[in-house]
This record gives sequence, C-alpha cells and structure tokens, in this order.
Amino acid sequence: MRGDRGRGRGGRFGSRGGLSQGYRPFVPHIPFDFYVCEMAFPRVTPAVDDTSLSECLLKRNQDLSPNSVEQSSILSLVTKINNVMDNLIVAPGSFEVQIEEVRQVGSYKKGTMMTGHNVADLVVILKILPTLEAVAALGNKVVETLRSQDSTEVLSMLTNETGFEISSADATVKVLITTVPPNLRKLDPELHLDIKVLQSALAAVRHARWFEENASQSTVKVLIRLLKDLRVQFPGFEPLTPWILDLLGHTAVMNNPSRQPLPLNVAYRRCLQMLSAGLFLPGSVGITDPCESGTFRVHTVMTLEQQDAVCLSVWKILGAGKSWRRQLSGLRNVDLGRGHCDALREGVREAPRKEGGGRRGAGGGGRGGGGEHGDAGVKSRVLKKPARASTRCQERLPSQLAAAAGKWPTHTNAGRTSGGCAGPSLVLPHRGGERKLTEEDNARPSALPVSLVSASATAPTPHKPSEGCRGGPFFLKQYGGGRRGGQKTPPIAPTTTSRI
Amino acid sequence: MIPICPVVSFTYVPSRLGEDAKMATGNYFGFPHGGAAQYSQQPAAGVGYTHPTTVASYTVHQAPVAAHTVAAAYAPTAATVAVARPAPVAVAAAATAAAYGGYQPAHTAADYGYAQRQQEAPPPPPPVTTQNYQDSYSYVRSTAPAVAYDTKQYYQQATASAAVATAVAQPQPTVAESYYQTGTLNTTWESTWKKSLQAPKTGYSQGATQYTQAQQARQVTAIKPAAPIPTTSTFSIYPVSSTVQPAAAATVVPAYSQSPTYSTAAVTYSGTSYSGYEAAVYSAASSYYQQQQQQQQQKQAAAAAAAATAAWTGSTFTKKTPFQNKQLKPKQPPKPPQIHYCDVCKISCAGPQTYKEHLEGQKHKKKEAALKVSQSGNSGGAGGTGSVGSARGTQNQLRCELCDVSCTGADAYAAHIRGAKHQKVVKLHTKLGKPIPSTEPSVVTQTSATTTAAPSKVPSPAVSSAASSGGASATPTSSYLKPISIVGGASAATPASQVKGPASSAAAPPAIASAVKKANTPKINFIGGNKLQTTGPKVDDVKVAQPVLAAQTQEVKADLAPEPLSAQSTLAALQSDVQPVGHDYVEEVRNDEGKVIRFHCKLCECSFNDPNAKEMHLKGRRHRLQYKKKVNPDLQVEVKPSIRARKIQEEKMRKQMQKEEYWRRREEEERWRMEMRRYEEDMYWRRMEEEQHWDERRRMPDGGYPQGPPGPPGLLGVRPGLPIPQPPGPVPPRRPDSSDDRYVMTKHAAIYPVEDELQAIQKIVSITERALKLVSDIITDQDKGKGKEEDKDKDKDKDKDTDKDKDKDKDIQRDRALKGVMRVGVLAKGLLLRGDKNVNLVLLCSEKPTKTLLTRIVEHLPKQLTMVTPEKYEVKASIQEAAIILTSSADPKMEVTITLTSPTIREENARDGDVTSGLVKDPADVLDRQKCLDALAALRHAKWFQARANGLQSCVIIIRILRDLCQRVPTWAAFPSWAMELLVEKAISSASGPLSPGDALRRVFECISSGILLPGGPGLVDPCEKNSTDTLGAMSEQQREDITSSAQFALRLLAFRQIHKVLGMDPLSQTNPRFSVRNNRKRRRENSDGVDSCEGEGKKDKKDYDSH
Repeated sequence: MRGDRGRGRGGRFGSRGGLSQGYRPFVPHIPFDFYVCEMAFPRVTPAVDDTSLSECLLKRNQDLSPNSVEQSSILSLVTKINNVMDNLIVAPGSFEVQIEEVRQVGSYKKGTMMTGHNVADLVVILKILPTLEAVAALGNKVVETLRSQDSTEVLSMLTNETGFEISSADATVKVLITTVPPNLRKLDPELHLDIKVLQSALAAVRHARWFEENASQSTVKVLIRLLKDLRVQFPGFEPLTPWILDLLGHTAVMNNPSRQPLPLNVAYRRCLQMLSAGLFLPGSVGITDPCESGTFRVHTVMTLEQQDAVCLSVWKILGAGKSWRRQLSGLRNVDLGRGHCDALREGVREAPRKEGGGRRGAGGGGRGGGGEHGDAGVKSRVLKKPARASTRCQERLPSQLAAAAGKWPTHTNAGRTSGGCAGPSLVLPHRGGERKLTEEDNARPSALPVSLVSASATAPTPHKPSEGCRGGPFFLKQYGGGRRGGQKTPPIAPTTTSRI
Repeated sequence: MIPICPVVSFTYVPSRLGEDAKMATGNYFGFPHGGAAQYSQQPAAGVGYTHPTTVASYTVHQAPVAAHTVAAAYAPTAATVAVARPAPVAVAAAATAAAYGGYQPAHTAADYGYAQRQQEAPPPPPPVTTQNYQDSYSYVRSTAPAVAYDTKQYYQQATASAAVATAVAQPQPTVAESYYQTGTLNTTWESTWKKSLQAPKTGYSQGATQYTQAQQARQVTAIKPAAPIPTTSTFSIYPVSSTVQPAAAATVVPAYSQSPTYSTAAVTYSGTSYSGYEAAVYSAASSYYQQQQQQQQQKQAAAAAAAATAAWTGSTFTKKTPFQNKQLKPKQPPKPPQIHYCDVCKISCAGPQTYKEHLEGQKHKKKEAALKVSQSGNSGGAGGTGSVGSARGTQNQLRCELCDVSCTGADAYAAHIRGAKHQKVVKLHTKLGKPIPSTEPSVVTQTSATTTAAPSKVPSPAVSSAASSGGASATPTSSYLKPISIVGGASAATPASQVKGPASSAAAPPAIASAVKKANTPKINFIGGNKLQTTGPKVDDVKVAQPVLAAQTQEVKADLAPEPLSAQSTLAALQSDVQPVGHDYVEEVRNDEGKVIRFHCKLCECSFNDPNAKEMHLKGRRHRLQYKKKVNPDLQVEVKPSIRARKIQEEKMRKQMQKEEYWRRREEEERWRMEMRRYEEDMYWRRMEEEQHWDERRRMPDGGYPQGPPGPPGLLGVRPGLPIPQPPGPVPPRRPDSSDDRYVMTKHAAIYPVEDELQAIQKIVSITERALKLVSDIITDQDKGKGKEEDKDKDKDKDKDTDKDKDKDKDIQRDRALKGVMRVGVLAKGLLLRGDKNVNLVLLCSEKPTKTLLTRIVEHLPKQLTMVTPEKYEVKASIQEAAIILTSSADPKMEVTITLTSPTIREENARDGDVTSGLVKDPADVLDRQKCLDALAALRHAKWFQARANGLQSCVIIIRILRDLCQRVPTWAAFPSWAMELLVEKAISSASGPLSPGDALRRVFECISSGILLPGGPGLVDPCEKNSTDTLGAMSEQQREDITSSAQFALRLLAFRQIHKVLGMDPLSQTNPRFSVRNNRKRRRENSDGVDSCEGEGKKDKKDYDSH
C-alpha cells in the first residue's frame, strides 16, 4: 500500500544521527508556520492593504474557473456516462464486466476544475478482476450505449493504463478502473491492470470523500485552483500533485489556531510562506495524508530534488517582489499592470513554461498516485504553449539561489559529502512518471540529492553576472530584482526533475 | 522557595570561595551580568531585602523573611553579611540611596546600580581571595562591639574593604545568591560610601545604644510600627563597627576568629532565622554543601585556604542551625560531618537510609510544615509588625533554641532543660560539634564550657586579629546583645589571638550566660547584652541568674522606649516574679495510700500531676484571671493586648506594607520582568543542565567530536565553574542528538571563546569596574565638598528620616555623579564569541552626562586603574561616542567601551513630546543624546535577554551560532544583532515544545525564509521600547531579501544534510558504532559485488578528517 512508504523510516536516522545510544526514532521537524504562532509576532509595521490582492485573487480565480459552456458540456457527459454505468450496475444483463460502484472523483467532484481542462474523473470499481480486456470491454460498452442514445454526438473512447477516457467535443471523462480491495491480492501483473493504478484509483475515491467532508469551503476550493495555477506557472511546483495541493490548500485555510477559515488572501500568502519555510523539505513533517493509514507525509511522494525545487520556487515568488502584494504571483503588479502580470492575468495559456512539453513526459501520468489524472492532464494542455517569459524564469530559478549560494562559504569538498555520509549513497528512485520511492525517500535523505551534490561540488566556479540569469526571475528583473546579479554562482539545485 | 535560596547560596559559597580565579571567571560570565536582570527579578525575600524602598518596608520584610536572607548572607560570606547589614542602613539613612534609585520612577537603570559589581567577582588570585574573606569576616566580627574605636581611618579602610567584601561576595553564583547579591549589591557602593561618609559623624557610644536597639528590633521579631526608626539609627552604627574590623583584620589572617563571627551573625537572627529555612531545604542543602565542600577541598591547595574553608564550614553549620548564637565548633576542614542530622527535628539518624526515611516521615513533615507556616506567616503578613504572629507566640515565652521548644514560663523552661529530651539533643549537638545555645543560667556553666571548648579546639592556622578579639573580650562595652555571644565566641576563638586559656574562658562564660538568655527570648537577650555592656568587664560570676535579669529589665526599659509595653509584659511573664495566688484552691488528690497523685485547681477546674506544674499554674495567667474573677477582683493581671486589637494592628501594618509594595512595584519600569524572571530562572537552570548534558555527551569518548572537546557550551551565559546541580532522580530519557544537533553543538564549541579570552575579558571588565567605582568615589568626594548645603530641602519628601546626618548622606547619595556601571551587549548577554575583543559597559550618571564629566572621568581613571592593577591600560575618551575606551596592553588585547548615559536622558525623551522646556536646563556640553539612549537601550536589552532568551532551551546557542553567521557571511551582516536575538527567541519560543539545537536552528531559518523579514511582514516589535518599534526598521529591502534568500538556502542545505556548509565547518565523521556496523554490512555486500565505492568514500572521508 502506499501508506507503507511512510513507515520504517526510523532506521536510517537511528544510524545517522544518534550517538552510541542507538536507535533514534525519526521525529519529523515541524516547520515554522507564521499563522500558527502569530501571537509571537505582533505586527508593528502598518498592515498591508490587501484589498487589491484579494481582488486579484478573485479575479484570477474567475479566470481560471471553467466557463459555463465547459461546465455544461462536462456535466452532461458525466451524467450520461454515469447513467450508463448505473444501468450496468443495476442490470448487467449478459455483460460480463460486473461493476460494484461508480464514483466521481478528482477536480470535477471537488469543484476545483480549471478552465481549458474539461476533464472529469470517474472511478469504476469492478467486482471482477480488472483485466485489460474487461476494461476495454467496459469502455466499448459505455461508448456504444452512449452512441445508441444520441447518435449525433461524436464520442471517442481510448483505453490507457488506468482505464479509458471518453471524450466528446469539448469534454472528457476519464474512467479510472479499479476493483474491490479483496481482489487486489489476486492480481496477476500479466493479465490485470497495475496494482498501483488500482490503488491510486481507490485512493482517489478516498480523497474525494475526504474533500467533500473536510474541505468543501469555497475558500479552499478557490485557493486550490489558484495553487494549481501557480503550479502551472512555476515549473518548480510541478511536482506538487493535485492531492498535495488539495491538502495544502486545506491546511492553509483551515489549520490555524482559531479553526476558522482564513480569508483567501491570507491563506494564499500562507501557502507560499509555508512552502518557503520548508514545509515540504526532507525531514519536515509536512502534511500528513489523512487518507492513508499511519503517518504518511504527502510530500514524500516527491523526489528530494522536487522537494527542494518546490521550496526554492516559492522563494522566487516570495523573494522576488518588493512587497507582499507584488510578491504574490500572478497578482503582483496589479498596480503596474504590465509585463508578466498582464500575461498572467490574461490567462493561463500565457504561463511561462519553456520546456513544458519535455517535462510533461516525465511528470505526467500517474503522478501523485492517481485519482487526479484529470488534473495532471490540465497541465499538459495548458502548458503546451511555451511562453517567452518562461525562458527567463527557467534560468533564473537557479540563479536566484545562486545569489544566496555565493554568500555561503562553499566547500570544495562538498562532493565528498554524499560519500562521506557513508550511508547508502543516494540513488533517487525516479521511475518514469511514477513516483514510487524507496523507503529511503520518506524521511530526510541520507545524502544529498545527486543534483545538489554535484552542483555544489562544482559550485565554486563563479557565475558571470552577464549570463542569462542576470536578473533573477523575470519579474524580478523587470522590477529591479536584478541587483543581485553580480553574486551569482551556479545553482546548487536543479529546479526541474528533468535534469537529474 | 525563598528560604531555600539562602541555604543554597550559603552552601555554595564556601566552595566558591575556595576555588580560584577560574571559578570567579566562570561566575563572571556566568551570570551574565546582567546585573541587570538580577536586580529586576529578585524573589520575594531578595526583594524585600534588597529593595527596601523605605525604611518601613525594609523593616517589614526583615522581620521574618529578611531574617533568613540575612542569615544566608552571613553564611555565604562574612562579606555578604557586612554588606547586607549596611543595606538597611543605607536605606534607612539615605532613603534616596542610589542603589535603590532603580525603584524610583526616574531611573530605569539605576537599579542595576552596583549589582554588577558583585558579579564581576574579580577573579582574585587565591591568596587575595583569602584576604577578602578575612576582610569580610572582619566585618562580621566588627559586629562584635569590641572593636570599633578609631573612627576615621578605619572608616576609610572600611570603604576599601567594603569593596573587597563586595568582591568576595560576588563569586557566589547560586541563583539565590544572585538575588542576594543584587540586594547586597545595590547596597554595596552605597553602603560603603555611606559608611565612609557617615562614620566620622556618628559617635561610637551613641552608636552603641542605637545598635542595641536595632538589635532588639530585629531579634525580637516583633517589630512595632515604631521600630523602623530605631532600626535605622541603629544600623547606621553598625557599619561603623564593621568598618573598624578591617583594620584589625588587615594584618592578620584570622581564619578562625570568624567562627565566632558567624555565631554572632547567627545570633542576630537566631530565632527567626531558623524558621526561615525550610527544613527540607536545609537538609538538602547540607548534603549538597558537603559535596560542595569536598570538591572545594580538593581544589584548595593552600593550607590557609583550607583553613578558611574550615571556617566556612563552621559558619555554614552555624547558619543552618536554628540557634545561631551558639558557637559552632568548626569541623576539621577535610572531614565534613558525616552525621545525618535533621535540623528541623534536631535529631540525628544512624545512616543515610534512616535519615531519608526520617525526612519522609510524618513527624518530620509536620514539623517542616509548621515551620513553613510560621515562616510564611511571618514573611507574608507580619511585615513591619515584626511577625506579630510569631511574636505573639514567642513574646512571653522562653524558648529553647536547641530543641526549638517554647516554654511559657521560666519553670517550664527549666523543666525542659532538665528533661531527657533536651539532654539528648544537647548530647547530640555536642557530638556534632554544633553550637549549643546556652541554656538557662544555672546550666550555663556547663553549656558554656562546651561551647567555649569547641572554638578553642579549632585549629586556627592563622593568627586571628588579636586586636579585635582582645577588644571583644576586654570591652564588653559593646552595646548589643549579640555581641554577647560574639564576645563569647571571640574570646573562645581568641586562643588565636593569644588571649589564651583562663582569660578567655573567664570572659566567655558571662557572655554566654547572658547570651543564653538572649537566645531564648530575644528581648532578654537584649537585656543580657546591655547587662553585659554595663557589667561585662566586672562580671566574673558565671552564675548570673536573677540579679542579672533584674538589671537587664531595667536596662531594657530604658532602651526599649519605643516599645515599652511589649518589653514589660515580656519581662513580667518571663521573670516569673509573679506571686502565685490562690494556693488554697488547689487541692491535693491522694490515692488510697495517701500519696499525692495529683493536684486539682478548683478555680480553674484543672488538675496536674506535678508539683512544678502546680506552681506554674498558680502563676499562670489563666489561673490568675480566674482568681481575679472569682476571688479577688483587685488582683493585677497583666494585660495582654486583645487578640482583636492585635489583629487590627496587624492588618494595618499589612495594608501599609501592601501599599508600599504597590508603589514600589509601580515604580519599577520593568516590573513584568520580575515575575518573568522567577520562571525564567527555573528555565535557565534547566537549560544549564541541558547544556551540561550536551557538554558531557560531547566529551564522551566515542561521541568524539572532531573539534575536540568543545568548551563549555552555552556556559557563556552562565557560570562555567558552577557545579550545576544535576536533577536528582533519573534524568528523563531524551532523544539522542540528531546529526544536526551534533553539528550545531560542535560548531558552538568552536565559536565559544577560549578560556584565555574569557579570563582576559573578565579581568579587564572587573578592573574597569573597580576603577570606575573608585573614580566615582573620588568624584563624589569632590562634589560633596561643594554641594553640601545646596539641597537640604530636597529631602522633605523622603520618609521618616529625621537625623541630620542621614539627610546629608542622602544628599550625597543622590548627588553621586556616577551611579553605577553595568555590563551590556554581548558581555551581559553572554554571547561572546571567540575572538571578540570588544565589550561594552554603561556608566550610569545621575545627571545627563556631559563632556566635562567625561573628561573628568578620563582624568581620574588611569590613576585609579593603577591602584587596582599593576597592568597598563590605555584610556581614551571618545566624545562622539559618549564613551571612554579602555584598551589593555597585554595580550590578548581587549577593549572596553564605557558609554556614559543617564536615565534622565530618557525621561526627557518622554517629556519632549509636549514641552521643549526640558531642554532648557541641559548643560551645554551634554554628550550625544542618541548614544546615551542607545546605551540605555542596551541595558534594557540585556535585561530582556536575561529574562527571555537565557531560559529558553537552545536559544542562546543558536544566537551564538547566528552571531557567528552574521560575522562570517556578508549577507547576514546587515541583520541587526538585536533584531536577530529577538527573532531567534521568538522563533524558538513559539515552537510547540523545547527544541534541540539542530531543530532550533532549522526553525530559525524557516522562520526567516517564510518571509518574516520581508517588507510587508509583521516586523519585529522591540519589547524594550515603550512605543512599538520595529527593530527591522533599519534594514533595506534589499538586505531583507538577501537575508531571506540566504536563510532559505541555508534551510535547504540543512534539510539536505549539508548543515556544515551553513555553519562553515567541515563535515563531521561518522562515529556512530551502529552506523558503522551498518556500513560494514553494506561494505561487505558491496565488496562481494566487487563494488567498494562506499568503502572508498568512507576511507577518503576518514582521511580527510584526520588531516584536518
């Protein structure tokens, strides 16, 4: 089970940290969260006027939300498919694929869909073992039934490793196939769908339910949508799975001492602050998955590099602006009204992502363990258009760091570190699109991510300010953030997984 | 809790003293000086004692609580005693004493006053230390009426010695002590000056009387409202006598004369003080003390030192024992008493086990509780009334100090003395070598014999001051009671002083005899004292019984003018001169054989078995009342104030006290810290333990930190030499260090200043402080000449002082231009890092510092420096900085920056808002205001730091680490250190629980990288400013961003196990056996696979490490 990944972490720490006293249980670090201990930091500076930010966020949300056409089309498609499935459940007739249950999951169910990505997810729980044939048969059956109901509609059905998708002209329903849990033990990899896929579909069901029960405030939904937008804009956030974003959004809004939902602007800011404070760094307690048994820290599905990249990317946002208002991505410059922000406000499609395509290959698919495939798809669509700005952005993420790196005494022997740790040297599992990590991956790394190591090993070469990274992130450059240019050294960490 | 303090401190002292400069050093840094903090947070007792704003308040506290305090003070160092005593004087006489200025609204910082001095504890080279002791002792001794004859010279010396004494007192590190010290401290300079000034004026003889009175006030415990006044006057004299001491002591090494001294001290507080201590505490303390002592002994090389220790031991005991007026028989230094003695119950136990059981037993607990109650009752409500409650209890009672038993009459007392129980205790105490309070007159001979014997047995290695002891024995002119016991002691101890044998013993018995009485009932004692005074020389008769009493009575009446009533009644009750009445109404009840088995009083409807009891009953008040009622209405029955009246009075006193308390508190600007501190103090010690723990781990052989055994981590802010009381019982299991923790602690050890540096800094600072004090004295002296007449009228608002001398003193106090010197900055906070060569002091002036003043100081300073030390220091003034810069010529070169400032500067600041008139009277050449304000702020920061950061686990460590970071990494240089400290404290304190160093560091980085510094963030409020101020205000946006970015980078490094890069150190080798086991396994496997990269890595790593 997925949840198992979170366990058994203690051993490494026992070996690394403790003295001769032996076993040292891994106790994750609780990162600093301003809003949890706000009392300790009474405000002395004048409060920031957040109205424009709020407006911006709302506006942005509106832009990101699916329009009515999209909504109705997806709704009708989902309804039709649901009906077909229901009929199959009720009256299977001679159809040999027996269905236990059909559940709506994912962003459609949660109400966090984004415009331009009209994909709904359904989980079909089979009573039988999910053979590839059964999946195909089910898909065909559904499509045929639909076609028979309305012959005018153009529908296509494609099977994939998770099930099949049925697409109409402007909407897609992804059907994720899984089976009843008892069947999971009887699977034969040769014949049936991958157990991971099945499990992730089941997890998606749990997620949907949890979300419905816990995170249905509209603030949370809006925030999640905004976070997804961020993820699209900043490649460093790419590894954040939809489920992580859900949890993050929920945490940011709800997890405060008063237990009252925070306003959107505050929660948004808080998300960034938490990420910047290393919420998802190795060793951090992060967010515990409420839908897994035991304590499973959701961010451990990301590779170490990705965790690092997430943290780093936030800094791009946080550190880039000259004020909170401007720092907040997508909304900075409301007052300036030009450059990147305009682009952002004009729509997601402008999102900067130079290598979007390439990376998508790596990151797409089952990231995050399924259930949110639809969301994953969002990215692929949206990102297809590379933006000019992205180049700069790409370049600067590391450079930003470099600014800092330049100020630290760098050790030439840094490369030794990985070996010096003498633990199993770090081999980061990064298998295709799947984020399956070894046990090592869940707590803090026993060594540095390869990239970190290698980068820092070579770090001492000073970077010329004139190189492309001169100005920091694009917006930084535009608005005066380039001052740090002179101190650049090469990045110590890659911002994208594709570099590894 | 309060009572504990004294005990502890007391206990501790000896070792402290015994130890050498190193200890002192530790101390020095140890309690970071904050002189500041100390003063602000004194516990009740300390407070009461320390900060008596007014005479009244002082008195109040004193009765019950202060008694303990004082006793404690005595114990620790005679010096302390000396200091402590003057305190009241200072207070009373000079209500305005600068020391207390702190409490006056105006002075924020004033309170720091001289508190620091103590802490500085100049690391006296061992011999010096000894000398100091002696001096201090001499103070005590001086108590002995005997000594003081010369006035002027002595006084001057006294001043000097007072300083020394202070110094001596300083080393005492215990928490409790710090409190005391503060109190004491404040007094120190004050009192010293006081003395020097005042002494000449006060007539000695006059003094004597007064003293007596004062004595009485104290001893009696029942201090009437009126009492304060007598006290005041009394005390003024006291210092005088103490002053004298030094002269005598100067030549001699009076190791042993001290013990008597102690007893003296004890006497003063005798009855009350005992109750002061919690029994448990005491026992704990004593055991602790023993340990202490052993340690100490080990450390002491010099024989003289050992002797001193012995003396200390003796004193220690004395102090602990309730009956202080006994002479103790100081134990042989090397052997601390092994008898398990319960001081509360006055019994000895066969072994530790039984002792423990006893301590846990019901009986003991009850006694202890009773003690506590009485004591708390005293301290709480009684106040100025002198613990009316207890007074009521004791007033008419004879008390056997030895057994802690009160008897209602002489007969009962006699019965007790004869009793088996008492005898047993006496035996035990004799065996223990504990002081045995003299008993009733008739028994006296015997008792005194033992007592005298004890002291004379003492192997006093040094020559005690012949002069003083001689004086003591020869001159029973001494006005006060204690003297009596003292005299006894002195004479006993005199062997050293060559007043050997018969002479001394002859002198002693009478003294003791009278002392005996005194011990039992304060008043009587008092009388005894007087008696002694008058008759002393002539009285050879050991059996001073009734006649003496009679004489005493008269004396008492004369002296006790302020409270004739109580005195009289007491006497009446005690003297048993009451004629028994109503014999007829007592029937003898006989048994069948006609033998009288009991008596029955028909009037009172009660019966007794004992003829003695019958007698007592007949004399008793109850019986007499009955008799009066039923038989003869004309019978005089002494009037006892009704309970109600007493209560009302009590209530009144309490209210008054509360009021004073209230005002005092209000006046304290930093009041909140006070409460804070108590809590923090605990935290602080906990942290100390923690750090100690870290330290130990680090030193563990296989813990092997490559950097070698780090210095005492975290001890910067603490006293390194301090034996930290390890928590009794099992230490709660704690998490093993994480790797980050190890890195942080290793780094911390690396940046922690080396011993040499600490020494050097401590030296220069203490020298500077001492020299400044001298300068202050000089300037004051000079000013005094000019300004005597000027402000006589100023004191109208001051309380009860009517004495002209006092007034003058007060003026002088007030006018003292340089009020005190305080440590600030890294020095006070204990944040010194290796390589830090600059430390800051703040010199508080009473008026706004001017250039004139600055140059004046600069003129005087070099001269005074040469008086303090032979070493060369370069002094230069920096007008722009409003500072004097002192540089040492020796290596390592240290620099002390002394900034002048005055609390008045800040006041004006407040005033500025509405009126500009405040500026009008400014002298023309006032120093830069901002600098002065900064200096004041620095003081507040130091206080804050002590209160908040010191107690927080890992906090100081992390602040040091970050300080280092700020020095190493340019980006961080922009981070104001004050803001950094605040931030770290907030970050760590806002965590859900205590953090290990590694976690704490990570959290701080997290905090910063969450954007807390960025513009638009909340800012960092400055807790030390009235107006909400953003400490980050000075940082530019760019700097904030840079730091945030850098912090995030650090955070990432940290998360990815590259913390060594953040810390700027090399990776530590892995020494964890478990780890290597695993590694081996892996290696094996890999080897079998033909891959040995891992091993290779490991080897390389190892090599690298070795080469470092």
